[in-house]
Amino acid sequence: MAYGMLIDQKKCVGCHACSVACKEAHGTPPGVRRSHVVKEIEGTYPNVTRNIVPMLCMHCENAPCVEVCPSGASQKREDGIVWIDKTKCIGCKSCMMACPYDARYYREDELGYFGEALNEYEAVMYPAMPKGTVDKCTFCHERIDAGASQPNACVMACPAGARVFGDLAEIKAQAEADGGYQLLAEEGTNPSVWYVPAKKNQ
Amino acid sequence: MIDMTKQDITRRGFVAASAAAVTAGLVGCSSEPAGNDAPVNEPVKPAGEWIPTTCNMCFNNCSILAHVVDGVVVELTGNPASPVGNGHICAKGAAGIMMLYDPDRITKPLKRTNPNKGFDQDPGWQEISWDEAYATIDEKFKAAMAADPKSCAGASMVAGLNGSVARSVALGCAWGVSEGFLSDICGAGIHVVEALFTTNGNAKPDYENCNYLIQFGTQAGTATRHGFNMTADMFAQRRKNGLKLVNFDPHMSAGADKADIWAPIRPGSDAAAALAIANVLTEEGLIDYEFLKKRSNACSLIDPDTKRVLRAAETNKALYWDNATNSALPYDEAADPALEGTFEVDGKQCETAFEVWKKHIAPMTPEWAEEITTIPAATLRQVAEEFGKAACIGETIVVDGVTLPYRPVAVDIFSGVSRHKHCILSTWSCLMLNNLVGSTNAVGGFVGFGPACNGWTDDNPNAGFRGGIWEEDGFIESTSLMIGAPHSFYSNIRNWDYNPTTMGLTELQPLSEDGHFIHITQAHPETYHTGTIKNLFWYACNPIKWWANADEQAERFKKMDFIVGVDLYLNDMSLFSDIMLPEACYLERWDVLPHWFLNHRMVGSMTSPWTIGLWQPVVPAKDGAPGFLELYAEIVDRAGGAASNQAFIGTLNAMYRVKPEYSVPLDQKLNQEAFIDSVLKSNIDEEHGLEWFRANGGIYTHDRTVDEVYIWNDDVPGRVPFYWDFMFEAKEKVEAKVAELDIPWETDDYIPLPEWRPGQDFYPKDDPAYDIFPVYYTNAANTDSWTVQNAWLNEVNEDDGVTYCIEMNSATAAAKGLASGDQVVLTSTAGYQVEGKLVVTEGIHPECVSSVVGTWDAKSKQMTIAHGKGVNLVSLLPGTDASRIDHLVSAFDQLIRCKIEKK
Repeated sequence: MAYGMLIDQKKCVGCHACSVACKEAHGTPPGVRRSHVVKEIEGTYPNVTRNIVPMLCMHCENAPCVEVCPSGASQKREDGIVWIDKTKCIGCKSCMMACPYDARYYREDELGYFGEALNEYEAVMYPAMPKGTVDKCTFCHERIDAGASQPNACVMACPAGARVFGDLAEIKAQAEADGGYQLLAEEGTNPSVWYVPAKKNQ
Repeated sequence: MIDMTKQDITRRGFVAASAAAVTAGLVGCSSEPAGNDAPVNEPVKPAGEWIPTTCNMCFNNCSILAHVVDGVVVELTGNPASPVGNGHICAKGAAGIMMLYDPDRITKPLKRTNPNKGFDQDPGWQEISWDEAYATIDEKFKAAMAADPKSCAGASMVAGLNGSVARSVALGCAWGVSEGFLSDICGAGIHVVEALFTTNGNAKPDYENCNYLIQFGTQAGTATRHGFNMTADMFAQRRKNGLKLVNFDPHMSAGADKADIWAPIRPGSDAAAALAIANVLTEEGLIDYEFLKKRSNACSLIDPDTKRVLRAAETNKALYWDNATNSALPYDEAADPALEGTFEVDGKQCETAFEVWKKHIAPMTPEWAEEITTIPAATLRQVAEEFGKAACIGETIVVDGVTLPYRPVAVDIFSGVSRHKHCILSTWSCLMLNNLVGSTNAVGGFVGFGPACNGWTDDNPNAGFRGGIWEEDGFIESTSLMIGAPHSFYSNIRNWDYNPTTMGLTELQPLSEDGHFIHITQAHPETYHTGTIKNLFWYACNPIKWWANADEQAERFKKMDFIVGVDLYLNDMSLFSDIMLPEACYLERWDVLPHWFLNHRMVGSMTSPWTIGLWQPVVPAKDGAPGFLELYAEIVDRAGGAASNQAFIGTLNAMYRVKPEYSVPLDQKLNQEAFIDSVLKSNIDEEHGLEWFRANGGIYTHDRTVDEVYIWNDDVPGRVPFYWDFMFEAKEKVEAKVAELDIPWETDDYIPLPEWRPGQDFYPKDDPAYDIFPVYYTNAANTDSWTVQNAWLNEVNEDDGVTYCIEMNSATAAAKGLASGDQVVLTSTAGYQVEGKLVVTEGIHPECVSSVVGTWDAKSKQMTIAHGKGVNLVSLLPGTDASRIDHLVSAFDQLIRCKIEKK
């Protein structure tokens, strides 16, 4: 079974809970935003809408990052999850160039949010984020593998209940039945993350 | 329009209704009940424990779990076992770790060595012992109180709500301090009208059953407001199911983002829009006439000369015209009351209140409002008609076997309406729309957060409360927020002696719940015959940045003799303080009942049971910094030993309803864990003390009954005020008292039916260059001063490109030759200036600029992240001008005109 995620933009309020919950669950260093929210205004005043798009790795079926990775660090699991074996990552950033979704981050240094001295939390969490390697959303595969019933930090946090994680086939069916779409579908990457647009109620 | 069918509601247990139910295939936030298994937050990190406690990154106090490994908190999540937050955690809550482990926190008492105070002065902080700190504070306050008992005050704010109450009690019991320096303007006026209409000073749309929602000046459930983590989920699901959202806001904030109709409104004109909607409802007969007859005083007969309600001679009960007997009878004797018409009583032609209303509202057409609000009349008419038609007037629904009115529409408001002159009139104009269509206290309508409680077990009513009845009109009375004590504005108006005893002059404001007028009396003590506060004890707040222009406020604080602060940080207020005491972070301390008696921040509904969550330390406090309970217990004990302890604990026992058999010793220093145990056992039962909470996951729930959620089932009596006759009585009494005291006062807003009235800067004055209104808002990731300094939230703020900037309408900016990236200066009509970086956007009214404002642009260098970040629009305001204060409810008129120039 492959995993997928559905994000319902009608429900999403753009509150950044997914973003910060991801950061604290994984201890990602400054500048690494595995999960974040992009907001754009469309239209001209007063006929405007704000398109709110929570972003993360799309865990593409045809993942260009995996294809270009020279060291074999970027890999795709049988369940569709794209991940990086940091022991193999050489920090060449080719995957970052290849990713159409800007979902990857390179850790330049070993600084924490308050500079060189790491706080208590950072001291525990940052060794898993080595300098000179690339980082990205893992669909919380560590937690899936550990058997957590609610593995995804972003899904669990979401105050609006806008995210669903599970069997990609079911996610896709649910999305398509609700007018869902994939980001940059024309790239041919076939993302495992589906979005349902925020249509206005009449 | 609404593609749902009404179904009778059956109460479901929390677990079954939980939004986070888990199924074998899809996991996550499925919105439908999908099984009986409670979701489990399994520890997937290899070690450690998950400890239940309560969040305090804002005042909503959601239940959370802290994952602690080897003494370090490595993750915070929502607690799925608790309806308070439903297992979710917001950005602020998730970022709590970076507050806990922020190296900028203070953890030891400090004293100032540089006597010069100012934003540009280094206080020269020197570490001192707790003994020295406590002894110095005790000595200074005792001496000051002995010299002048009105020279000392406390200050705090809503994010530290429970500590704020304890601060007030402790200062009173330790030294006799009775003054409060209140800068946090919150919902001035709004809580009052919500109490008058729902008994509960905090009310909300019945999200789970609402189909059409109009928001004025609020983004409740999409970014903010009491119970956000609980309402966000209910509201999102309802939008998904077809709820239509209309949002009136000059700035496209989160409410407008999610709205089906965003109505960008000129600031300070909400009442005009609401009254135009009322006009259409009235003209088109989209009115719940039966509600007005049974649930309001709209049938009251009005004396044409005095405009007062006619009343029965002995009982003073309002007279209605009874069609059955063709006579004027007390309201509760009129079998067939007339809502409309003119009737002869004692030789006078008396109209009913509703008849008076029809004439009152007739000129307030959508076209009239368009001129004021800039919202097209057609939009206002459309919204009014949709709202009225969606109200299902006349329909009922059965909830758990009880037949109730079904009106799935609501008007909701908050701060955007509150921070203006004539606040109570605006608040009333908006919320009375719920009365016109009968949705107040109806299923799907506008209901209290927790309007009534029968107790937290089936056989212990100790925690219960329910509003009484003001018999002269049959009005529902209220219960106070948090402590749930009986409260009646009508009784206050009738029975107060109106003699000011506080410097906030609250006794002259019988409809107010706020003491903000103290800012005016402190600026002009001779005019108002008050003293001057010279010694201040502030707790977990930053009042110098809250009220108005920061430099103007600084001058006031510089003149004080002695200022003590309690905070996690050396914030801007510390720059004017003499001693700073550190407090433990919320993850390091105890608290009593996170939501007191659950009528303030916990969202009550049939699927949301009464919930008592444990608040306990998950890690030891850094350097042993005390929580507020420990800190105040120590201050009280040192100040007066047994006598002070007795006063302190006695007061707390009364507020928390501690039964005598469970009380901790009154004459000894308060033991916080024993006290918490006594509160839990008194209000739940012997079994459910602190040990039970610690051993059983920290959450206790008790299902709500229908009468606790919807107060107006079947034949329960109670009415809302439609025609506010009591305003005449209040006006007369206030005017008499201020004449006696010879102080200037305003009473023009004591009127019986609502109107729109402009703030003093609404219309342009002399210089046409002042053509911009600054409006502030907040977003879901920021609240008050507690989040400004947070490293993770700062990263979100910096990344979004607007939070720390000034937003301006693209076309207006272009016309002024301004563009994104320009450094601009705003100059207000008061002469105050604020600078910032401009970002142009299509998402704001052309007459406005906007920024996220809490406590921003920190001057303190000890807050290394917050320092210099953001734009403090509040600093454009003069804070000492009485004409900017609503004299009925102490609201602060923050509408001010500015000119904008490139720097």
